[in-house]
Amino acid sequence: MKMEHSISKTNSICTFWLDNHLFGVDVMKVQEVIPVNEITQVPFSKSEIAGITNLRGQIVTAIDLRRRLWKKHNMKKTSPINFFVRVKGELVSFLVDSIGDVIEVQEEDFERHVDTKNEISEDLIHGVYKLPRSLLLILDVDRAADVITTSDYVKRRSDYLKDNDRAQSAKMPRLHKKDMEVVQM
Amino acid sequence: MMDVLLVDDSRLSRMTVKKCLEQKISDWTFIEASNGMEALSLFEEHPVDHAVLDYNMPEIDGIELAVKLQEKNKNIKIAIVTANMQEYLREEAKKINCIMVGKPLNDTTTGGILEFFEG
Amino acid sequence: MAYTDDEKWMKEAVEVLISETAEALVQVDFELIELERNPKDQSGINTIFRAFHTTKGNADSLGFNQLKLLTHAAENLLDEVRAGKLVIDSSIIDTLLNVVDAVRSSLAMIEEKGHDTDQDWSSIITTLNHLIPEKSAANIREEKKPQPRKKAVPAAKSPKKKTIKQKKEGKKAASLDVVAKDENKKSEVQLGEKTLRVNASILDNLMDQVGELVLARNEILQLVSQLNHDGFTQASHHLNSATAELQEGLMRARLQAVGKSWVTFPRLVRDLSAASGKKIRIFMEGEETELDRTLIEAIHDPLVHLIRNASDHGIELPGERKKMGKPQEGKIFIRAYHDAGQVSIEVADDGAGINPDKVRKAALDLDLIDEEQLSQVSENEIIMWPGFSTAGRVSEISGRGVGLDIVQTNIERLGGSIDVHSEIGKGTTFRLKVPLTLAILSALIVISGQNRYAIPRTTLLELVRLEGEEARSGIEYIQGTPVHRLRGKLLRLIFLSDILNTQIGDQSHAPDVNELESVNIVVSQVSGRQIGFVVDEIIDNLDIVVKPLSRHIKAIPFLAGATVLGDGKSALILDVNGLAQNAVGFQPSEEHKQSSIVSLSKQVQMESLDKRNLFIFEGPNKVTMAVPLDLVSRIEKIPYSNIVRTGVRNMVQYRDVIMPLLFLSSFFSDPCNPWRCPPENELPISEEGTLPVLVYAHKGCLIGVVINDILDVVETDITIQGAKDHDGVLGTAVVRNEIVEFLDLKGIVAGLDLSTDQTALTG
Repeated sequence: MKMEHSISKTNSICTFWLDNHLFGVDVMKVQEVIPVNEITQVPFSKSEIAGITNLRGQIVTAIDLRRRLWKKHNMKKTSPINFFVRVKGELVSFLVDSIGDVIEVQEEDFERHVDTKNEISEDLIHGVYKLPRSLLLILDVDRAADVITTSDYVKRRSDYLKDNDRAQSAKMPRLHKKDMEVVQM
Repeated sequence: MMDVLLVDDSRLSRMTVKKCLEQKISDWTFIEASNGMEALSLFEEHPVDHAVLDYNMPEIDGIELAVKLQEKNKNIKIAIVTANMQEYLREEAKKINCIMVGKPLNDTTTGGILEFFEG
Repeated sequence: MAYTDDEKWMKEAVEVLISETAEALVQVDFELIELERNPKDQSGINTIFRAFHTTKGNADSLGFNQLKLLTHAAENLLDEVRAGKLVIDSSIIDTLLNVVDAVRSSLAMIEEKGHDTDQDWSSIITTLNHLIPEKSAANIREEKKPQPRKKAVPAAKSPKKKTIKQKKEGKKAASLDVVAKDENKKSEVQLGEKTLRVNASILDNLMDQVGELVLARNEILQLVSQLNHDGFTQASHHLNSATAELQEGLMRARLQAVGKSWVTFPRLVRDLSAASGKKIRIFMEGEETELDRTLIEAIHDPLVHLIRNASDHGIELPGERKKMGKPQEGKIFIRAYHDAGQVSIEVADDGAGINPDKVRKAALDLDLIDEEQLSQVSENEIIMWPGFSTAGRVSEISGRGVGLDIVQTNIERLGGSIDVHSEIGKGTTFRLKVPLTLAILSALIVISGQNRYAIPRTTLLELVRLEGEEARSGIEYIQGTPVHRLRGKLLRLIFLSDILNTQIGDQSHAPDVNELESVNIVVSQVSGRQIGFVVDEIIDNLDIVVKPLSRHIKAIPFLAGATVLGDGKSALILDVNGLAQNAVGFQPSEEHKQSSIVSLSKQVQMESLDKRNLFIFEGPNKVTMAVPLDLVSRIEKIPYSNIVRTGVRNMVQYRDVIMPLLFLSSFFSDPCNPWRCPPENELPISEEGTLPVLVYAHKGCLIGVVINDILDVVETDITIQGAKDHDGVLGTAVVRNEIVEFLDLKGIVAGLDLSTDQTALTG
């Protein structure tokens, strides 16, 4: 799949659980992991964007990783942990279920091919490490964080709502305004 | 350890003078000012024994500034630099016990300044 | 790649050369233009001389030979001028301006390639040398004769008579003074005046830290208010005031004189004049007005664009101006001033003004609008539309007219606004308003759909709260759009909950009018219009720190940023412009085709035409009369003694012109003899000896209409009833429970004989 995975023999990977799958990110990219305190929703943002959150005064965008990875998604579940990662110079949070250990993996155990019978978006995964008792999926954070709400997207959403509105307000009571004569002076 | 007041309205000129001096002696304390008034005010707090002044500056030129500095410290050794070297300027400087040196500085002229400072 | 120490030094030295010289060149441009008007200005000459002299020395020490030769030749020329052997004339100025451009080009090459050996300035150098008078030329090759030293040399103890003033600007003390108009450079010495040169990024960091402090302060205040502990309360007050002072102090440190970036304008205007064949002069006022440095940078380009616009479309050719009786030289004014927590900057010209017909025609031709919608929009709005331009061809000077909409967008993005006032034949004024600073804003915190949002106060006009019965009857629907009648004016409403809280699949949240208990409306100014945003609750008013949105959500037009509130929770900052655009949107290129939205706007526009400001006054026979205020140029009190009788008419000197006076009492008592001046004892002369006069402009001429008394200005709907029973009156109406006669000002003046020239006193 991808060539960007680190060349060194042993890697330290920070792991987390999401929907009973084990994922990992190179420890160098992870800034910190803390439970979600608050998330403010951002209207008209793409649905994979959970919202914004405050990290010691810095406003960080939180991405709903579950939605991002799985095409079919159970919308009611929310993930309670912020996994803060540095991507392209910006801090981003991925919402995950729980944090795992930092583990050392060997380069030789890395495989690029991933079996996607779980319907996870393949292009967001670098590859896998076969661990004694589980499979560790390495997340491509750059791609995973690439959720951009464009103004086009916003326009399409708002146009849709306006159409909705017009249909709704057509049912509103019509009140008459006073009669007025406009005299051009 | 030498101390020196550098006065020139061009920061680049000051940089250049510093570089030349540093090539001869590595241990300098530089006090910098971009004009006469600033120089005089800094001098109050940091009275130095040596100064390198640009001749052509707004408001108060190198020679005038030299005179003022000498009023505060008789023993100060002052080198005045100019990009337009003229005989009469050399003489003016001599009259007030300063030396006038041409810009840009080279190895020889810098050596000359140091000799003047040490002498 | 590792540099040796020498290479590192050289790199830095070149950077310093480029920045220092660039700064000096801006000053030289400025001084050269001043010198053109005052060729004897010695200090200007000295400044220019020194700039070239220093640049020559620096170029020499870094080994840039071409640059050295060029500046050396310029220095020689300036030396002759300095010595009084050569007088400045336009050809010298032109040549020196060329030298400035050449030096810039040299610096550009040095920056790009690290050397300037490819350049050849011999032709400019030759020109420079030719300008030097013959006999002096010979001297240049020899040593120069000693300049007689005008100053006393050493021995004398007495201090020099000449005293000096240092003018430092803010933290970036430039070594060259930026003195806009001061011919007299002598003033007192200020020893001990200390300023520091501080790296701008350090100030930026400090600003960020103070921002954090403001947030922490907000958090603490919030917690303390829940505690009810005296000690804590007191300490938090202390923290509050200390933080506020620190915030203010730092904002002050970042303030710079706005005129700092204006030094390039005179050169710009000169170049524009020369290229267009017009005569244009720029006047700058209020340069010392302070503004946050990032804002100064941000408005620079918009100002440049407006100046280009004024030159290109505003100021007429000298021939045309002469025909109109205007002075041949056109004027552009840049004026900055503080006004209610914002800084206003006006760009005004005395040119042709905006021609409403031309604008409308161009809008139709460019297919930006349909005929029937034309009357619904004002020309001042049309000119701000993208793709609009009345220039027949692409002007090389100001390009296509795509600039104004970008100027507006950029200014609004900063939280500011732009409006335009124009009078055909007289000129145009653009006024930019920007907030003093960006990073920390005063904002209203509101709730909509259980979420909190911050609305910056910069666009806030007022808050309206309706309760109970008022709430239910206060919102009306006109063609499906909610509006509220605010003092007679129809205010377009936008329900925030509609826009912000709907997910796909939800029903619209527009409330059932009959169930409202209370309504909160935030009235804002958006692109010249007023819009009311309906929110669920207004909970607070505080200073917030603006944090940028990440790339994932930056593009959403309704959002201006985010902030952290006192309880540590994040909140979005709304962009009222974005909200209004989305909802109302008279965007001609797209939406004028969507007829339902257009007819809405039409409706709203028509309604807002109904309200007007009326000037109420007492006319002859103590009748209360009214005229629309926008017809009136000025209302003045003119001394009776200034009136001069000239044959038929009575005239008075008013500003630059001589204005005829029309006494309303005469007009109404004897329409055939309207210019008659009643006897003094019949005139309403005040104790100070003045008469109230309504100044009206008719086809470029001013007429003073003498009334009896100034009463009031009233905003109201006009509903004229009653017939027109005599000339000069349009009808009657009830204004504030009184019967008022509407003066037919236009009709009256149109029927007068104004054949005598209105003499201009100047130019």
